[in-house]
Amino acid sequence: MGRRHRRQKPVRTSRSGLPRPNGTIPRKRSLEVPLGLIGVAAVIGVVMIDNALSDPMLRNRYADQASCACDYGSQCRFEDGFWVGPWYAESPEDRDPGDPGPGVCPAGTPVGPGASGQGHGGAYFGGRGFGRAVEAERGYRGAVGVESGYRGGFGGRGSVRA
Amino acid sequence: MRRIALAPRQDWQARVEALGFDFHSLGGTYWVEDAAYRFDWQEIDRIEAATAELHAMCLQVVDEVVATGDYAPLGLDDRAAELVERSWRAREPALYGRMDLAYDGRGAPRLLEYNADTPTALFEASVVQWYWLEELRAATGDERDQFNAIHERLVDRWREILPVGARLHFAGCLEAPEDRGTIDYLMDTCLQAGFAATALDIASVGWLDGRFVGLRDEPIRTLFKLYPWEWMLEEPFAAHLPVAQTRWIEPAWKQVLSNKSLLPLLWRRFRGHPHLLPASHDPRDIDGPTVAKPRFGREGEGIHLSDRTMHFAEPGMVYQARTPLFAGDAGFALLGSWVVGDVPAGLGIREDDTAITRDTSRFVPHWFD
Repeated sequence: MGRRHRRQKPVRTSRSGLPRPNGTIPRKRSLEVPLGLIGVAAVIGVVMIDNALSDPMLRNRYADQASCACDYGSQCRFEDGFWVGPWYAESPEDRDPGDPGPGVCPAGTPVGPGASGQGHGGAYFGGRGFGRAVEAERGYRGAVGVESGYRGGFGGRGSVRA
Repeated sequence: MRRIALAPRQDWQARVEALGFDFHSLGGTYWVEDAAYRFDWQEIDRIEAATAELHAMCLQVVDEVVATGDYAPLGLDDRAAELVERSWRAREPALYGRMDLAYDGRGAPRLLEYNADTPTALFEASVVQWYWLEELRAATGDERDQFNAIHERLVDRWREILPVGARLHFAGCLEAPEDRGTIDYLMDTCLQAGFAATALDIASVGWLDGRFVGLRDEPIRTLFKLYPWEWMLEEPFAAHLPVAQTRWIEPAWKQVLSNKSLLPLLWRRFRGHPHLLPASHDPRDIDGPTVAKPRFGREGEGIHLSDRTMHFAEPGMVYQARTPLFAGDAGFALLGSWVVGDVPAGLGIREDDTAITRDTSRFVPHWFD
């Protein structure tokens, strides 16, 4: 019996003209495309400062938490050794209703745990010692510094879509 | 290469929306569900090879521009030039870009422009058409493939260009659905690569104590921006760019590539190359039908087609020889060939009733076999 001539599968060449390994076409698509985050940017990327387009902003820096809290309550944060308040627009004309402004505490306002009447009540801590007594009522000391900065210096042109 | 009519998937809108593709019908019809472009593997190979070669040529042009310091043809001023030089010399890595190619299955793919700074239509190319193909394969049981390794390449590329433990910010116009979708997706690939990331609107980027800061005043060390360099350089924070320690993705040297004045530079450097078209700032250098494009134009804006040589040059315009796009009953098709890092990664096809691709142009999936 004669040998049957086996029909050869055409060898597919790579772009270089050389035969491909194993005569197959390499896969050109991703094996999988898992997605986990769609929509998150819309949630966490909210523009947090409404004063857009280069409005100069200020932020107060305080030596003690109580003075910061007197001005800004729970909006204070501890940063680089100081308590800082939230950003507010430098120019009163640029402050919208949500702007925290430069602070509201008048000078001399009692601050500190004693002044608030919390915990131990009144200006004295009932004999708990001098350390606590030092933290008793004292006046608001105001900001020890003001930082400047601003937002909105990019973004005036909107969507790219190219 | 040919356009094939297909039966739409049942509830296709819900399927793509489940992926997060909620702008599938923006402007009427954007995602085309009832058709696809079909290629053979030799054509895909040809497109891939052309993209790789063109990208290498483009990098050569950047190198030569920096070496000669000749930024005038690109319309880049000293500030932009300084940023380009610094980032190129520091070999700041790039993430991605999209070349627009004219190709109809015959001859060589030709470069129309390189969207190397803020390309979009990424999610459609990388994700939506991939899932479309998987469902088509499941329905037909065949082995058709797609030139689309974009997702894998992006995840790998983040790992190539970022140090372990890096934290990135992603910024763009989050109010625009398409921009937000692109940022969402890229941030997802970055997280999948093992890095930390947070997004903010580009208008929320702050400047504090000599550095760019995020929403909580944290330093922005690396910022992916879906916002063009040429816009940034015209805005108030441009003053801070020369001193900011922020690392930018895409890096500043991409300004050379995302600028249509790249085209005359390529033609001058590689005159007669099969993947290039004659291009010049002087329309009289183009013999015959000509396309006039604004240097920084986007989404087809300001493009003018002429059936003959043009004779009057306008400032900031680039003139390129016209070449036919794929044309069929449904219109004209433009190939968007994606580069991730320095490697061709995939293909996305836009289609329009006219020969100019715009923001309203449709996205059509593809396969090859």
